[in-house]
Amino acid sequence: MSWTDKEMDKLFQKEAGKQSFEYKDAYWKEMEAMLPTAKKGDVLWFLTSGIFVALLFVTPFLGVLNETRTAEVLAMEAGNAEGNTETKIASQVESTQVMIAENKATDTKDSEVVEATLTDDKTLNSLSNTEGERSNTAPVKSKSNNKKNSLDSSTPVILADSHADLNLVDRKTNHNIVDSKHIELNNQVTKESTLTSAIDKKEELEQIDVESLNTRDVSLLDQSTSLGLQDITYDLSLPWSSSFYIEANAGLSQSLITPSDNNSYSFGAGVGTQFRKGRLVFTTGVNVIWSHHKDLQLTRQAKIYGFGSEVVQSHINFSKLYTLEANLNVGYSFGRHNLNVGVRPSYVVGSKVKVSQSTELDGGNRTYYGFMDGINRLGVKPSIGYGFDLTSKLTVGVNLSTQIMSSVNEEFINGVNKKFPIDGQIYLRKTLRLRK
Amino acid sequence: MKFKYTALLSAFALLFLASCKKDVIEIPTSNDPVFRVDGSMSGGSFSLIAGDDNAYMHTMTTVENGVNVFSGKLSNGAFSVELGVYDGLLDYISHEALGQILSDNSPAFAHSSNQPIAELNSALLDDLQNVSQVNWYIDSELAGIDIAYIYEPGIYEVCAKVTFNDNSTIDYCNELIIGYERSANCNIHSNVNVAGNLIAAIQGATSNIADIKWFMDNYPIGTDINLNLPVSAQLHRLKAEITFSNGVKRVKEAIIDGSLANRDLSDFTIFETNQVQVPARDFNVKVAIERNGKFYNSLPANNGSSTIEITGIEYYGENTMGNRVYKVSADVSAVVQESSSLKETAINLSTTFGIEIP
Repeated sequence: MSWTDKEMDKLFQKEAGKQSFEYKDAYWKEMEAMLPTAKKGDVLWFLTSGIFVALLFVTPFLGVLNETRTAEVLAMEAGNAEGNTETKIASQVESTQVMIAENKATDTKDSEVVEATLTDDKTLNSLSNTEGERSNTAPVKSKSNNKKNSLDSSTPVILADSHADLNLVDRKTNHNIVDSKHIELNNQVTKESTLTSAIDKKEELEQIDVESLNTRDVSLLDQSTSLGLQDITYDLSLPWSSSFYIEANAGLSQSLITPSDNNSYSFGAGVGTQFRKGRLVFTTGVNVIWSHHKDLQLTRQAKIYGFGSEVVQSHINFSKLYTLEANLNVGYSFGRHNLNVGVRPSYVVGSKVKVSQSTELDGGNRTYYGFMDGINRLGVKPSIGYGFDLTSKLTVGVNLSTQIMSSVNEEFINGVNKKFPIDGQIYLRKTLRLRK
Repeated sequence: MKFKYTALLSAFALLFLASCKKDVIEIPTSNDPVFRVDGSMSGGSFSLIAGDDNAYMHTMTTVENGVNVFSGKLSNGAFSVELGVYDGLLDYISHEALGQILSDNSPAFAHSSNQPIAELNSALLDDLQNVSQVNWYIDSELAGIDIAYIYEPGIYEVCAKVTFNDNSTIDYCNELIIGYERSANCNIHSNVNVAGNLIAAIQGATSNIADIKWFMDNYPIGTDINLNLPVSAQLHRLKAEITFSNGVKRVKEAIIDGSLANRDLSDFTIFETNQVQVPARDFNVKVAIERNGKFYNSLPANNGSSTIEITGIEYYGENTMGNRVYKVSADVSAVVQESSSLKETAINLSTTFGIEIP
C-alpha cells in the first residue's frame, strides 16, 4: 500500500491547519517594541540631499540662462554694479577693454575666438593670470592689470573669439607666431600692426561691441575689489556661469568607532558642476568613495541547535565601504585661491567584507560584497575647504569635514560610534570646457 | 546641454549599476532548541534539550523481530528518553509508513507479554506418521524441537528441519507474521495422486489473488491457480508466491512426496491463524527511559489507558546517515516499568522528538 502525493499533501495540510500556539495581544506589543524607530538624523540627510539634487538639476539651466543673456542685460548689470563701485569699475572697464581691444577681432560680426599672442613675458604672465582667474571667475586687481596689460608697441595681436574668451597660446610655443589653425578656422582673424599710441587704443575701445563681453569678462572687472558685504552683493548681481568638472580625491579619516587606534583612508572620483556668480562659486558634485577600514568588525557568536548544538563564531571585517558622496558647497575666490564651506551628504551603497567563521563547513575566509548589516547608510559631513587653481583648468584643494551622523550600528559593530570623526581630503579637479 | 545631461545620467547609472552586486552572507544566528523533552516522572520533573549538557538527538531505524522501529533517542549519557514507532502493514509489497503515522494522531502503545503469542508445534503439520522430529529455527536460530514459541510480535523466518522415520530429512521455511495485521492470507493445498501427478491449489484466500508463481525446488513451474503436473518420486519443496489484488504478497512453502510415501507437510499458515489474539502492533508506540542507571520501558507496562497525542509532524532534515528525520511533537501520558524491580511508574512528557522515517 502506498500513499499518493495528493493523500500525503492532504495529511500535511490537515496537520498544518492546527493552531499550535495561543494568540496573545502581548506578542504584538513585543513585536512593535522590536521595530526600529525613526532616526532624527535622517531628516538632515534627506534635507541636504534634497538640496543637492535640486541644485544638480537647476545648475545646467542656470548655464542656459547665462548663455542667452543679452547684451542689454549685461550692460544693465554692469550699470547697476557701477552704481556701487563706480570709480573702481570704471577703471576696471577701461583696463579690461584695453585688453580686449588689443585682441579685438576685425570682424566683430562673426567673431568667435580671441587669441592673444604676446611677445612680452611680463604681459604673458599678466594674461596668464587673467586667464586663470577668469576661469574661476576670480577678479584680478585692476592696477596690476593696467600695468601688465600695457602692451608693448611691437607686440603683434591676433583677434578672434566671439565671447571674448581669451585663450593664451602656450608660453612654450612661439609667442610671435599665430596659430595657423586658428587662422584657417577663423577667416576673420587679422593680424594687427603695432599699436602706436594709447589714444588709438582708446578709440578702438569705444568701438568694442558690448555683446562681446561675457560673464567672465565682466567678472574680471571686479578683480580689485575687496571682500565685503558690498562686494558680495555686487557678486550676486552678476550673471551666472557654469562649468563641469571631474575630480580625483584621497582622504584620511579618524576611525568611525571608538575605541580604536586605526585610521581609515579613502580614494575617490567624481563629477560635478560649478556655477559662479562673481567671485562666489557654488559647487554641486558627486563622488564615489572607496574607503578602507581596519577596525569595522562584527563578531557574532551563535549557538545553533539541531540534533545537538554547534557554537559558531563569525568574524566579519568591513574592509571597504563604497560610498556615494554628494558635494554641496559655496566658495569665495581670492585670485587663485578659493575658500569654501559646504556639506557632504553620503550614502553607503556597498561594502566589501571578509568573513571568517569557526565552522569548518564554511571553509575559512571568504569575501563578500554588499553586506550592510552594521553600517548606517546615510551620513552628513559639514566641511570647509581650500582650493588653489594650478592652471585655468586644474585645481588642487583640501577639505576638512566631520561626520555628524552615526556611521555604524553599535549593536553589530565591535565598538561605539566615535563622536564627530574628522576626515581630511585632498582633491585634484579638472574643469571641463564642454563648449567649443 | 544634451551632452551634460547624458554625462550626468551615465555617471549615475554606472554608479548604481556598480552598487547592484550584492552578496548575502549567511551569518548563523542562534536558534531555539529543536529537540527537547520536558516531563515528570516519579514526582520529579526533568528537562532534556538536544544541544545542552551534551544531550544529543540520535535518530535511527532499529529492527525488532524483523520489524522496523522508527526511533529517536535523546540522551546526555546519564539520562535518555527513547521514543519509537513500530512499522506496520508488514505483508504489503510496499507501504508508506509516514502516511500511516500521520493518519493517526493518537496511536496506541505497543505491549509485550511474557506469555507466548504463537506456538510452533510439529503436531499441527500434516501427516506426522512418518515424522520423527522437527527442529524449529526462528530467524536461523534453533528455537525448539517439535515445539517452539514466539513471544513477541514480529515477522519471522521460520524453518523446520524435518527428520522422517526413514531418516530422510528435509527442511523448508515460511514467513510468519505474528502479532501484526495480515491484510490477506492463504495456504497451499496439495497432494500427489496415484498417477504421480501433483495436484496443488491456493486455498482459503482472504483476498482476491492477482498473481501466483509456483516453484518446485526453487524452479518455476507455473503461474496458474491450480497445478496439475507429474512429479518425480521423491520429496519436493513446493513454493507459491501469491500476490493479492490489495497489494499484499505472501510466500508459502510446503513439502510434497512424489514417492507416495505420505511424507507431505503443509505450509505454516496454521501457526499464524492459531496465534494468541493480541492487539496488532502496527504503528504502535513505545517509550523507554534510562535514568540514574535504571531502565524503564513502556512495553511490559499496562498502558491500556495511556495516551499519546501527536500534535505535529514535520520534516526536519537528514541525519548523519543520510536518512530522513521528522520532528514529532507529542504529549505523552504513559506508564513505564522498571526492568529490575518491575515497578510501574507514571510519566508525562511533552516533547519535540526526532524520529527517522525512511
